[in-house]
Formats: sequence, structure tokens, C-alpha cells
Amino acid sequence: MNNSIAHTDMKTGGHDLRNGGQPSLPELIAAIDHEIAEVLKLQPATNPHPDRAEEQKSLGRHICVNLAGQHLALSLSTILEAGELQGVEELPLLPDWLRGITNIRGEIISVVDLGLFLGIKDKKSRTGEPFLIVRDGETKTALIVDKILGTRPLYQAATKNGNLDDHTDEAGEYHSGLATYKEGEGEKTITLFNINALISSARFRELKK
Amino acid sequence: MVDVAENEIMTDLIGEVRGYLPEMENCLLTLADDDSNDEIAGELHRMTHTIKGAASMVGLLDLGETAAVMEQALDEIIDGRRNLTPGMINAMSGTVKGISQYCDSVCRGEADEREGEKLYQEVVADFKEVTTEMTEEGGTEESAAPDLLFAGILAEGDEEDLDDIFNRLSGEEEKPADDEDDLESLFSSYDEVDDIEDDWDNLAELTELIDVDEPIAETEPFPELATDPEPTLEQTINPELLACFKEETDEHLENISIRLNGLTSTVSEEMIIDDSVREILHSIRRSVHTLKGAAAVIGIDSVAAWGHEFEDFLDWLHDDSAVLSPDIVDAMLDGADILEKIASNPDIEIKTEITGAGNLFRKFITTDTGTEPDTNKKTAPENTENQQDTDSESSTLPQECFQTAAELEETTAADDREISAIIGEPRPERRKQERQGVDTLRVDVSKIDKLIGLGGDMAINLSSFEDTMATMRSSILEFDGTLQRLKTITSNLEAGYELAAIPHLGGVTGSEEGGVTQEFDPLEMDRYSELNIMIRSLNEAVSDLDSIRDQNAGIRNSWRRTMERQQGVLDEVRNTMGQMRMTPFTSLANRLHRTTRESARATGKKVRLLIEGQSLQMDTRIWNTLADPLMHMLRNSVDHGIETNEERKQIGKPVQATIKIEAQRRGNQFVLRIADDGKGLDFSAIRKKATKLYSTMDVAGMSDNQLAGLIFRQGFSLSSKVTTMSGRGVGMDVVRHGVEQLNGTIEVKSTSGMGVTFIIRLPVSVAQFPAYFVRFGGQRFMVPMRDIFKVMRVGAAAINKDEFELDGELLPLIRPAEIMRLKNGPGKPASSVTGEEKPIVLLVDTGSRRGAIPVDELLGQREVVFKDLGTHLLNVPYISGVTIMGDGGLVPILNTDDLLNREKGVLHRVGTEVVQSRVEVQERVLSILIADDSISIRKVLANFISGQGWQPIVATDGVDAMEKIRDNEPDLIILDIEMPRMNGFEVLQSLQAQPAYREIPTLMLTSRSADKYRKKARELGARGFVNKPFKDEELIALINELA
Repeated sequence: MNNSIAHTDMKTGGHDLRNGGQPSLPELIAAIDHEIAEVLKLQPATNPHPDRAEEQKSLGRHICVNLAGQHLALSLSTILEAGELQGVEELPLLPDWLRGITNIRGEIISVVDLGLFLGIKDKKSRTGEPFLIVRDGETKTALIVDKILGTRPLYQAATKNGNLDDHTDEAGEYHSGLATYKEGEGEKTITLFNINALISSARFRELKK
Repeated sequence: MVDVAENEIMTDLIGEVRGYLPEMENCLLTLADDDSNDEIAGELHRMTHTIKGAASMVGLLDLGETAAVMEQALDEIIDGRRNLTPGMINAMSGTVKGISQYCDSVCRGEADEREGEKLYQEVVADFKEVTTEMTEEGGTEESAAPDLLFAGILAEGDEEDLDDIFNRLSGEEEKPADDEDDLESLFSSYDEVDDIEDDWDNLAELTELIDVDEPIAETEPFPELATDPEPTLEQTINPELLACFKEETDEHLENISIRLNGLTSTVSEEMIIDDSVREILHSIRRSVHTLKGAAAVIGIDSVAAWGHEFEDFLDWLHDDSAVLSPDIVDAMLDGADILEKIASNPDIEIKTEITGAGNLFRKFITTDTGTEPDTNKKTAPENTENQQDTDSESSTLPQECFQTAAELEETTAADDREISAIIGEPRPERRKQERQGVDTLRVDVSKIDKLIGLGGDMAINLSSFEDTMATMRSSILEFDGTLQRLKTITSNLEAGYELAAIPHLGGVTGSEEGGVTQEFDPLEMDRYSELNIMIRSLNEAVSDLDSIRDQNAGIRNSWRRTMERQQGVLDEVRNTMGQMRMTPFTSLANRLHRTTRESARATGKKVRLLIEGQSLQMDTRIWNTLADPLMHMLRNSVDHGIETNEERKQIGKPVQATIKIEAQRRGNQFVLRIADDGKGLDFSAIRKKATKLYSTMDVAGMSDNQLAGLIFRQGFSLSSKVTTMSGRGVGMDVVRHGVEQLNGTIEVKSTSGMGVTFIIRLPVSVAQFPAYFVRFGGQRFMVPMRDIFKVMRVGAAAINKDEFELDGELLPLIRPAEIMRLKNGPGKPASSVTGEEKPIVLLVDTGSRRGAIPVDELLGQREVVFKDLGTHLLNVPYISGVTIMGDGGLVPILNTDDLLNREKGVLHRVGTEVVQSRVEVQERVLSILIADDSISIRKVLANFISGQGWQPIVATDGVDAMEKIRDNEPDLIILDIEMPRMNGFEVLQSLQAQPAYREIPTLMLTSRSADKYRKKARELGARGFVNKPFKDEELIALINELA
């Protein structure tokens, strides 16, 4: 298929990807699509585990991605769909992080290489890499990430000392805190990524003028 | 209104009505005991009134009318004009029962028109019987007018009493007659509603209202209006109802406008009103009437009040006036304009206009009645005088006074016709309208657009499927080839080995088998060796494969046929969806007529607008975008183009000027010609102004046509005075911009003293336009054809300069690839990859500038559908939008204007940061062509190449490779040596022969490792040689080195 996006069946079930197993990207995408649809139905996000909420404040389900070795969590409510990058048309005189535009079911959407935008990667992403379509207000864009890890219910991190991980780079300004999730018996920490801050940043909006 | 009456609303209504019925029965029981209990009568009246309003609102008109009959009777009882007799109570009880039964039927879904009609007829008959009895029995003053109830005509002075009732019902204290002025103004809106209230009390009129399928006014907001004189309409009106009202309004205003325009062209002097004219008047009156009623229901009082006044005038014209003059038509036009204004903005302040038009109406009526004193209007003259006096005293209440005069006319003219209209005659028009309503469906344009978008997606998916089919076809062909080879091998095996393998025939001696087989007869089958058996099996397998191949080919053919059918259906669907967006020119004509009239009125000129081709259907977007430019042109024409009445007289032109708009469809073009018969363009003034404004231009040497073109420039205005209508110098460039938005062109022709003609040409499909499909610097673009005036092949030398010479004119040479900093193929200078061939140059003209754009390659001509760049990228330099190709790929559309207007060395809009980062972007993804006849090798290589972040292009043999090289201009080629049709060496030779491709680095990948092959390849221009199987690192290093 020459079309830009390889979409998967939204109805694929079994999408609990919290631990174990390495699902394929199409499976992941299907599961994520499914969850996004659920979240959109249940706005505002409801807590699937009310008992735990008593102990820790639930942040709702997030989609976790890997970007240049960093694990980031993006709120499902800002994500419209996930897919695999297929065809991107470059446009002249755009910054390197703006890869161009893509056609998603007849809709033209800009493609942003998140790693390059944040300055945490120097190599451009390739065809077949996963992306997430995010929306903030009227603006829609497709963000390319290295790997989609799955969706997880996140909880407010117990440590509130304000130190957001050990990131001191540019990416840090789009981080909105830390969260934890269960993995096996233990708990892991993940950085929350603020999509709204990204889309409303001056650099991102430069080409909207 | 019926549109919004859905089942749910209907159920609610029935529930509500049923809730009132027991209470009403109780009231009636109480009244039977105590007929003077005004409070109970008032309560009963309130409930009946509510039922009437609510039922009419949801479309149960019969129920509404039935309640209205009872309400009218209660009105008169409360009013003291009628006694509450036991017969009356019985009639009312009967009505309540009837309503109850009707509600039951509605709930069961059994209620039909006949049942409602029957209920209404029965109730009317009951009441009529009661009133007749009363008339026969009584000799009282009230009963002297037995038909009063049904004629619904109030005697003079009744109004006041009714006000009292309403005040009482709404809990208001009765206001003393000598209230202060400010109180009057406070209640001005109240008074307007009061007029409407009177309507509802007038049963004859009510029934007529219902006849045209109108809901009945709900009077509940009445007391609120009294306490809050200026409620915000947007806040108080249900948005859904408001939307419905607006749609309905548009229809009726359009009808009024069409009819009035018809009258404008036919009525050039005073003429007798014949049947055909009366029919037109009737149609106008009906529209005004319906609008008035709808506005009253919604609560837009200003429209209702003006509608009422306008309707009165139309009533007089239709029923009583014998003649129709152009002045009367003008007055009607004024009335319609006011109606349109207040309907579109109910809060608009146009009191003066309303008073002016109202006075004009009254003037016609009084003049008419003055000259025809013998008619039934003997009370009219003095009443009109009274009314005029009142007008001068209190301008806040003109409608009321006027209405009084009109009603008085009606009072004297009241006759049995009206009664029969209510009681006896069926209401055919209402039924007709109900039937018509089913034929159309209102749909939000955005939904249609969404459907069109989905249709586009389907086309893309289908095209993608088509590509897969093409791949499958080549796969089947490849399979064929392999099968043939296999067949040859099998038959060779059979011929060469099978016979030899049979011991006694082949002479395989000395083996153990040989010894054993000697014991058997040579003809016995089991003498065959295993090889024989395997060859046989192989033969069978080949034969099976052959059948499978046939079967697959059959399936493929069937898929292809299905796909073709699907394509046909999809085309049909897309066509139909496109047609849904089409609306006739009439939808715009109304506004144009109004603009012309307003401008003519403001300037005191006499102008008529003729529109031809009103039925022409075009995309709604075209009409919407054209509306402002056209209105602007009309205002310009009237204000500046057309001479004053005196001037026209002097030069012998008819005083009434004509502006003519012709709409035509010519093939794929839509042509609008706007011509006036005014003084035409003043070329000397344009020349003078242009000399002042554009010092660099050779204005003196310009022809009239060239001068005329200047009026479309920004800030060019000839008018020395600025009026509210035009002359601000922001006019014609806005017109041009509007036309360009629709990918159209505008042209002006003028002869001094003979008027001006503007010709607007637009493509029929707005979003679709023809474009050249070109390539600059390795990237594909679309250049809209409207920007190109010539395409030429020129000598290479002609484009190696900064300017291009065309018939003595020097045009700047624009190199998009350089301006946009696009990547060029290795070693290829911009825009000259065509090498020895003559390069192609597009000569562009955007109206303000001209230039020459050499292209690397002209890929053809396409009809493209414009799409913007999404919600994020609103402003990309030199790119206006994008189009989606059949395979779903995107191709940017070049903004030629931006390219021509660029300032050298300075990039528009994007900061320096972007330019620097672009250097990095230039390191684009390498595209690598793989030519190999082995499908496996192609697959492995393609995966390996995309794994490195490069772009693989695959070719199955030498000929295919040459085609792909032409189409894709790869950055590097990987060639196999042995390939069908054209081998690797031949490909190398061919590449060397074409300068355009000579520089593309080529790498041989083969299993032939002998030196002679390496040598030969090097001689033919190959830059590298890799043996199969290749080592990843080796190949990566080589590719990196070569590319």
C-alpha cells in the first residue's frame, strides 16, 4: 500500500501491555487505537483501579514511548491515533525537525521528528517508524518517536522533590513531572511529557504565523 | 417549525396536554356551578391558550385550531361579550373530551389528518350551534352580531379591554391611561407584541396563519417582555429554532425577491392588476405572512411587527387596489429590503426606514381610498387621518395605529367568506406544503464536505489496490517465466535421463539393480528406477502448478473486473456528492438586487439590475466567495459608473440605467459578465493617477486595455470622494482577490461613454484546477496553469543567464530549486539536467509580475485538487498548498506569486535559524535503484537499503531499470549483470550514452567474480563491483563512498 499510514484493525483486543511479552508494532498500535477510543469516550479519564487511587493519585492511562533512550509518558487524552510512518512529503525551507507533511485519510498533517525537535537525537527517523497523532486545540501534528512501549496506568510519583529526572537538556522544558507504574512486583518511574507545552511553544508555532 | 417536531417533542406535548385536561374539566364543573367565577375562567383560558400554542408549535395544527376555537369563546366570555350558558359549558366539555380522545389516538399512533380535522369540525359545529342558539334567544347587544365569534373581529375599543385581560392574566397591574411617556417607551416592545396578540385573538387570521403551515405564537413571554424591555434575542431564542427560522426566512425572502424582480421588469407604468399579477401579489403576501407568523412564534418581534405592517399593505394591494404602478413596486421593494434587514439582524436600528416605508404604504392606501370613496372603506379616510395624527404624536406606536386602520377596513369588510374559510373549506395549501416538505432534506454543508473527503479516500484506497494488482500481475508473469523454465527442465530430464535410466534401454549395467531387473520383463512398470519416478512426480507437480497459475490468473481477472466496477460506482458517487454542493445563482441574485436598490436609493439614481442565467448551478462556495466582490462592483457601478439622472437626460440616454449580469457556463468554465450602460472608465484620469502612483511605469505608452488593468491594483481608486459605498481605493483589488481565490480571472472592457463590462471567468470546480506537473531539484511540484502564459523549449544558453529574453522583453529567470534550496542530483547544476536536450521554460504571469521558470522535467499536465497544508503549517514559503495523487502521495503546489515577488537573498517569513537548519535537511534520503531479476535478491537488498534509512527503488530487468531511472532519477544504481531483456552491461552502456544519467554512480552486484567481468564493467562506467553474497559493511561503505 502506497498510502502514508499502515493502519491496523482498531478492534484487536487484548491490549494490556503493562508487562511481559514484546508485542509487534501493529499489535501495539491496534491496542493503543482501541484505548484512545475508550479514553475519548470516557473523558475525563477515569481511574480503572479505584482501590489503588486511595494509596496513590491516579494519573490515568498514558502512552509510553522511547525517544533516544528516554522513556516518556504522553497522556492518552491528547493522542488521536498511532501509526507507522510511511510517506512524508518534504517541503522547502523548513527546520530539520519538521519532516514535512503526510496524508492521513485525506487529511494533511505535519510530521515532526520529536527527537530532532528536542535536540536529543541527531539522526533523522526512517520510514516505518512509529508516530502518534496529537492534538492541542486546532493544531494537529504527527510526532515521530523511536518506539511505542505501550499504555500503562500511571500514578503520581511519591517523591515530590521537583527534580524531573536527570534531564538538563531542552527536552526538560516539556516535562511536566514524574509518574510511576507497576512492573512485576516493583515500581518504575517515567517522565511525563507535556504535549500542550510542546504545541504551544514558540518554536513549534513558528510556521503557523 | 414542523421540521423540529420530532417524536420526543410530540410525546412531551401530549403528556403536557393530558396534564391540563383533568384540571380543565374541574374548571368547567366549577363554572357550571358558578358562571361568574372570572378567576376560574381565566385559568381555563390560560390552559386552553397554552394547548393552542404548544400544539401548533409541534405541528398538531388541528389540535391547535380546536383549542383556538375554545380560547376565542373564553375570550369573549371573560370579556363580557358573551354569557357563559350551560350550552357553552357543554360545548367546552365536549371540546376537552374530544382533545382527550385525540391525544389517546396520537399516543397509539393512530391519529391521522382526518381525525384531527374531524375533531376541529365537530368543535366548531358545537360552538356554532351554541352561539346560534344564543343569538336566537337573546336580544342583547353582544348577540346582535352572531358571527362575531367566528369572524373574530373586534369592535372598536375592544383592544383596550383585551389588554386588561392580558394584564390580569399575567398578573400585571392595570396601567392608568395617562401613564408617562417613558413608561410608554418601556412598553414599546410590549406594544409590538400586543399587535401580535391581537392577531391571535382574531380567529379568522389565526386560521389563515395555520393554513400556511405555521405554528401559532406562544404568548407566555409576554409578561416577561413587559418587565424586561430589551431581552437579548440570541439568549432568549432556542438556537435550533432560530436556525430553522433563518432557513425558512431565506426561502421566503428569496421568493419575495424573485416575484418583486419580476414585477420590476414588467411594471414600467401604471397598469391594471390582472389575475397573473394578483397571483404574484398573493405569493408575496403569503411569504410575508408566513415570515411574520414564524417570527412571532420564535419571538423576533421586530420582524413580526414589520411583517404585519407590510402584509397589511399587501392585503390592500391584493384585495382592493385596482392598479399597480412602478412606485408601488418600489414601495414593496423597500418593504422587502426592510424585512430582509431585520430578519438577518433583528436588533438593527432602522426605525427611520421603517417609519418612512410605513408612511409610504399608508399614503398609497389613503390616496387610493380617497379616489374611490364608493368602496367599502367609508371609515378609512378619517381613520387614516386619526392615525396620521397619532403618528406625529407618538412615533413609537405606528404599527398599532396603522393596524387599527387596517382592521377597521377589515371590520367593515367582514363577511361570511371568512367564516366559511374557517369552518367549511378544507385547507388544501397546508396539505400541499406538508407533502412538499417530504421531498427535500436539509443537510449541513460540512457533512457533505466530509462525505466528499471520504469519497476521495476511497479513490486513494482503490488506486492503492490497483497498484497491488499491478504488482500481482508482474508477479504472475514472473511465475509464468519460472514455470516455463521448470517445464523445460522437466522435459529435458525426461528426454535425457528418463529413458537412459531404464536399465535395459539405457544400458546401466553392472549395478546391483541391473542384476535384479534382469529377472523382470522390460515392460513391467516397477522396473523404473527412483529417478524415473521422481521425474514423473516432477511432471505432475509442474502440471499442478500450471493449473494453479491458470486459476490465479482467473481470480486476478475477476478482481480486476470488480475493481473496474467499483471505480465506476465511486466516480458516480463522487459526481453525485459534488452536485449536492451546487446551488443556483438565484441564491445570490436576491442580495445583488438589494445592493443595487440600496445604492440607487442612496445616490438618487434610477437603476435596474437584470440578471440572466439565474438557474445556473454552481458550487455554493463560488456564490459565497463571489457575493462580496459582486456587491462591491454593483455599488461601484451605481456610485461612480452611472451618470446622474440629469446627465443621462442631457446625453440622451434613458434615465433609468441598466446593469446586466449574465451568467453562462462554457464547457469547464463559468463566465460572469457584468455590464453597465454608464459613462465607462475615464482613461485620462486613470493615466493621470497611474503616472502619479507608479513612477517607474511607462504609463504614457500604455494602451487603454493596459490602463484598465490598473484598476485592479491595490490602492488604486479614481474617486476623489469617499462615500459610504465606495471610493476608498480598496475596491477592485479586493474583487480581483476574491476571483483569484476561486482560481479565476477578471477582465475589464470599457469604451468611454458607453459603460464598463467586467468579465469574470472561473473554473467550474473550485477546488480543482489544471496544473503542470514538474520537477525541480529532484522534487515534484504542481504549477497552476492559470499562472503560466507560455511553455517553451529553449537553447541551454538561454537559461544560463539571470534574465530570459522573450520577444524583446527581459523576464527574470527564477530558479525554484535554488530559491527553495532543494537538493539537486549529484553533479547536476540546477535546472539543466535535461542536458543536451532543449530545456523547458515556463513563462509565468501572476498579474503583477512576469518571469521565466526553467524546469528540470515536465512530467505532464494534471487536474489537481487543492488542499491546504493542515492546521500546523499555515505558512510555508513558496508553497500554497498540496494535492493528493492517485496513490495517496502528496505533491506541493507552487506559489508562483511568492516566487516572483521574493526579495533576493532574504527569505520570507522564516527566520535565519530555519535557513541554517536547512543545510542539514539537504542531506536527503538517498534513493537507490536495485536492478536484479531475482525476486529474493531484490527483497533482501531492498530491506537492507531501507534498513539504512535509504530509499530503495526496484527494477526487475534492464528495460525496467531504464524506465525507473527516467522516472525516479535515483542517486545510485545497483545492477545485476545477467538479466532478461537487457543485461547489466547494456544498461551501463545506455546510461553512458545519456548525459543526464552519466553521472549517476552505478555499482555492479553479481555472482560473476571473474576479473574479465570487473574489467568490462569498469570500462562501461561502473564505479564499484560487489560479489554476491555481499557483506553488509562492504556494501554500506561502497554506497557511502559513491553517493
